[in-house]
Amino acid sequence: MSVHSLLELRNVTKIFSTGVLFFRQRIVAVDDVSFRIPGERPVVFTLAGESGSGKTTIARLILGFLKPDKGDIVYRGRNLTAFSSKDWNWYRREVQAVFQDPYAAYNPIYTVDRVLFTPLKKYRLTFSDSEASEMVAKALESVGLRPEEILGRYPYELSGGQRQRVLLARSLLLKPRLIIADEPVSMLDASLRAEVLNLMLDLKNKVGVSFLYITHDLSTASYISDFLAIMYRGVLVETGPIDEVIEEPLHPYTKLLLDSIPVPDPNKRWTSRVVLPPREYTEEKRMGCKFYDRCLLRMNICKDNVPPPKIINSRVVRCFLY
Amino acid sequence: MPRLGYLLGPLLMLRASIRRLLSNSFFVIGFASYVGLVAACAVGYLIIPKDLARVGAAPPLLPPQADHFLGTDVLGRDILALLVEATLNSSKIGLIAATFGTIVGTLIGFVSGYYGGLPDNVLRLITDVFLAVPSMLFLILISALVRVVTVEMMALLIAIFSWPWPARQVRAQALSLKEREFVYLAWLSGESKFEIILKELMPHMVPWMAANFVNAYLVAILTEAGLAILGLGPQTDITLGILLWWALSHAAIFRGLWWWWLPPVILLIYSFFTLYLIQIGISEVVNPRSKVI
Amino acid sequence: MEKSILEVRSLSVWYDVPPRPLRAVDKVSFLVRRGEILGLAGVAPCRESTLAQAILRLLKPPGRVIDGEVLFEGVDLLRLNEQELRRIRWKQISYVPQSSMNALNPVMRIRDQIIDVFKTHEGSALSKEELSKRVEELLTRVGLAEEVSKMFPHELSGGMRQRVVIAMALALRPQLLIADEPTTALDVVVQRGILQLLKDINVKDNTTVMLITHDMAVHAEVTDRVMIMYAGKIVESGPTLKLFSEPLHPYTKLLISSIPRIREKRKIIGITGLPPDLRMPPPGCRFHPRCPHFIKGKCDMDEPVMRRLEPDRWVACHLYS
Repeated sequence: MSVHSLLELRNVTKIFSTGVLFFRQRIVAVDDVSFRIPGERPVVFTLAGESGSGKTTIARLILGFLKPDKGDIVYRGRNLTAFSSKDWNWYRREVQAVFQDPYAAYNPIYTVDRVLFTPLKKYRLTFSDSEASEMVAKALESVGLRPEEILGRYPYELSGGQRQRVLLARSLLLKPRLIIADEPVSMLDASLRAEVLNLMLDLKNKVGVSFLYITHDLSTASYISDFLAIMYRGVLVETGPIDEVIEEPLHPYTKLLLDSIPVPDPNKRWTSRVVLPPREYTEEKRMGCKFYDRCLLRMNICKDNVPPPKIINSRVVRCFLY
Repeated sequence: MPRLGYLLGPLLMLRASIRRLLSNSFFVIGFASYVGLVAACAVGYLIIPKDLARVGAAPPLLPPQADHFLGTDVLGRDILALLVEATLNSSKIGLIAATFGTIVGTLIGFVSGYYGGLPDNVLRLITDVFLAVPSMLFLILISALVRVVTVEMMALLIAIFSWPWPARQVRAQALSLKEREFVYLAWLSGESKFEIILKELMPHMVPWMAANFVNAYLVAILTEAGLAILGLGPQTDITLGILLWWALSHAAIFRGLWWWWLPPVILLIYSFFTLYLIQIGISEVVNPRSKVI
Repeated sequence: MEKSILEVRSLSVWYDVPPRPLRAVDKVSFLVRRGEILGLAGVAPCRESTLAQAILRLLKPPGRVIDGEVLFEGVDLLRLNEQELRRIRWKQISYVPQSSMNALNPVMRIRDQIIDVFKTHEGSALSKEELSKRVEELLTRVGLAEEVSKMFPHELSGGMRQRVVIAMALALRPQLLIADEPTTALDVVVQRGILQLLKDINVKDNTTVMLITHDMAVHAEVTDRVMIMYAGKIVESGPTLKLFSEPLHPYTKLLISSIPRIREKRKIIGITGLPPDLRMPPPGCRFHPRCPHFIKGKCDMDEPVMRRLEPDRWVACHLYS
């Protein structure tokens, strides 16, 4: 099975402790998460959840900025924890990232050229400067930018959309197999969002790049994604092909999320009401299912027991309803 | 030109910063004034015959006159000659202490902030201890025990207390910078950790280092003057503080020998003031972050 | 004809930044009807905030009101002095600024911060018991438990903090509430709850709400009427239903069609080009460089005027003149 997986997370747990001495607080950012991005063909796999759900931590774990406390991250059959520095070099060429804030990704003291040329130089992908310039120009054009308008400029001189597209062009230069895109469009306005999303689809279909798309916005996810995994406070509550998950959500949280997405159609307004929790419980006190407090379908068993992952056809759900 | 692009960035930034500094009035006035003073003293040092600074070169306690513009002291030494040498030595102390303090402080602060963990905890404790103790009292204690001899020794002694503040500042900067996304991206682009420190992070530190340098310089000069006045200054070389101490120990104020005690005081105040202007200038340029940074 | 609670006439707000001033809001006129939920949509969040801040005289330099009138129940807010303004601010019109959930005082308990609102605007007219009761009432109104009043802001989640801020804005029972991006950075479920809350106060307390957000889907869910702003000007306004089903202005059309909709497999298109530089806006219609219906010689020369097409629909576009 692992031969066909591009990326696999197996029971990955990451705990952060903050505070000092007696005031230590343990935050379980990622709790026993497992999922698999298939490798037979390029896919867009969405990891969705609200802020604090742990999705950004997972991105950092995958990219190697953090080490998991428990569990394994396996890329094309190789375990990240066993990586030598040579392995990391190989990994960094195959797996790239696009971040949320198109400004913060640039070092403001350098021109944007740096993010484009540095990887080429470092990974020895070109033999001459002219070849490098050519590759960069082509990459920029493939994301809809004109090299003469972009090169030599400082980050502040470009718009957010341009900056984000340059980052995508950069990712392309390395011809990665997998791009970890952490909220790539949430800081862009609606019109730019469409362009970047379409670009991502093109990259998947024409260049064969897979994406791990991390977002809180299920509408954009439904537009480009093949698979959907929903996170809630560090726990992966539901996974499956996106159309199935949206048509027939299994986990109560997924249902709640899908229902709460505002629809830009005044004829289809929300008819039911939600009840926002009058107070929230901190991590320490919650023993069982983390969604217990907000779940309308909760049962006694949910209070003290953590639901194990249950496989239903091509879906995986963590809920005692099943 | 892409390869040069890497160097071009920080160089251009340096040029841009210099340009901005040069357009800041505080900096320009302060810098020109202080450097002017030091330059004048350097010239004076070269021109004025050394003999005039020797004991017995002229009749003692002469008020300012044609041969001796600032008169002579109790030992017959020409005060202007002494003053010129003293100013240069005081600047030397400032320079050495500031250089040491800034470099050591930056290194410690950076390692502390960037690597975190145990080294950070240890270094931070040491830094905080040094910051908390009343440095002047400790310096008095140390210089009383270790009879400080030369200007260089004095400078290094003062430097012991001039690194903690830069360390703390640089640590804060390093902490905030290391989480920035461009650092992640640089790593993903294949830069080694060392390259990241050198090329991505260091250029951001430079403005802080400059501000810290001037601050340390200023503090060093005053600290030395303070120690010297207490009789704990360097023995073999002459500084503004020493000059003042001599004057005071011979009751120059009481005896109305203004040409002996007033010039060093004026020059100390002048040095402090002009250095402070430089510091304001640098702070103004560093802090209101313009669109370049 | 319904009475308007707020009428803005030809308001212009500029930012004095060298070398040329930035025309954030340029001769904008509109009405807010009593009892409605009016949405203000635009793409760049800061422009609409500028408008809200200008109305309440909360603009900070380099922002400056150049011209215009803001009539609240007939009184021009721009001509009032600070004392008269204070009587209106918070009591009659209150404001929930952007990211306000981060603007809570971290070292004060929630209860004390709400009491502060009362004290600042109503003086010490109320007794301690009265104040406690009011705080409880407000918290209940926004769906928070009583024990929240004793907590500090960092102990609450983003959604709860936003509810606290809304509670503070409702403290003195204002007639008009201006909410600026009240749900960005909140998760969809909490967003839904907050929007539901705004709808409740509109329906139950007859509070007029002006909702500023760039999220068109939010407008579709809760507003009665929407105004679309582009490059500092209002380009279209009308009842939400009509605006979404038959958008008139090309920008509105593009804006609506660029929203991906869940369960709909339809290719979305963006808007080509870049938003204009407001220091040197394009001549004529500001949208013309990006407009698919651009008419050369007209759109780049004459600025279109807001025209009334139906009793309640206004649009500024040469296609309709």
